[in-house]
Amino acid sequence: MSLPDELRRVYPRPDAPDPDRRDALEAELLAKLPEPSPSAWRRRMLFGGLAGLAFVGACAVPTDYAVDFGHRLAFSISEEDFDPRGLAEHIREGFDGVEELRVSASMSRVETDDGAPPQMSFDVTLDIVGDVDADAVELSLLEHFDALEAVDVESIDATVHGTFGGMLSHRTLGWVVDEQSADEARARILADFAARGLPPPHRVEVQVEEDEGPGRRSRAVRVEVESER
Amino acid sequence: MGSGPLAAFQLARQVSRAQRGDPRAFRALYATLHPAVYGYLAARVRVRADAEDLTALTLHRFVDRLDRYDRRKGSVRAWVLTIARNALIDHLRARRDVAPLAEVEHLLADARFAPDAREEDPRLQRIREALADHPPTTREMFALRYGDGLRTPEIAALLGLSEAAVKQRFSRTLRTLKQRLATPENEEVAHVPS
Repeated sequence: MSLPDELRRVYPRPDAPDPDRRDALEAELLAKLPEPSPSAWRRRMLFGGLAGLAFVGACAVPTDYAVDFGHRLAFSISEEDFDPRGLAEHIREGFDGVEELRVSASMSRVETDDGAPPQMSFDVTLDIVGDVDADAVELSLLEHFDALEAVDVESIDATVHGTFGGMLSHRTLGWVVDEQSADEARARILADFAARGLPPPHRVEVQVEEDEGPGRRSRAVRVEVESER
Repeated sequence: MGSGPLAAFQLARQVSRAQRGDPRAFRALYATLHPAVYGYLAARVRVRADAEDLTALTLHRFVDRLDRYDRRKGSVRAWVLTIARNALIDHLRARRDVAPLAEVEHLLADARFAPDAREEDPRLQRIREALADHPPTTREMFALRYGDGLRTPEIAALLGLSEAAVKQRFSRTLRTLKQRLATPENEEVAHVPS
């Protein structure tokens, strides 16, 4: 058993709460919430199992935009600790959300004049694609390797050379589906243009159509932006 | 729900909807936060009724302050557990007739080591003894990490430390623990952590 597993056993789980008291507290707290506005009520009725569709049209402004993919973790370990297969299994089995994993390493050998045996070390890079808790991976590496002092963590993103329309398909759909407000999405599109130093678009139209039927709720989002560089 | 960045984002979104009076969002929020808050408190106070009273107090304060939540200042879970920790400090101080803050720090760090929760396993007992040599903040960090399952940014926010300081302290303490546990018990010497 590893030390982290033993540490978890050191802290016992408390007993479960009284379910009646838990439910009564939920009812008390719900009564304290503000009254939902009619639009919020409608959103609430339609929320759940959302299906989002986006149509981004009339927008051909060339632009570059970044898309996040995951994290890169880099660290140095000794020759005896270097086990790429074990490392990959540790990450894949220990963390949810790993879509793709690449382990790469470069080796360095240091020799001295004092007759001591040469020292080997490995600079390891883990590229993890997916929605993974990079902090948890980092901590687990620090726990796993005794001599590990630090792990460098950075986001992996890629710059996409495309149009503003393409960027909107990545970003705006998420804003509209998440925030459920056409006005908020429209404001964010305008702010994004301004942040990129682009002149404001001639027209920004965001339409949200919601449909509810037996066993299904859907939400269609249509975004149109007209602009020129 | 997990504790990763996506789960944290979903909680923040549920708070945003609950602020607008959405009961469905609040129920989802409650389903995540009640176990976290109750688990934190029940592990640190002996009496279950006290843990339930403190949970109610914490979540009422959370709802009363719901409109003040700003996702840029940290995760929802760290925020609600900060409210829970403050309620717990008040409870401990009241119970001990205004105990000095330093004493409360020790209580917070070791409340999970309740004698009736101790196991007979001598290895776990050694780990407890090895941890006991470390400062109260470090012991509380370990309880939050391994007992409550909090992430580094949440522990940092809860204890008012930088993330770098939390990582460094974890790394250093784990190394010290491993070294100490690798030494046969009868060869241990008095240990003073750095």
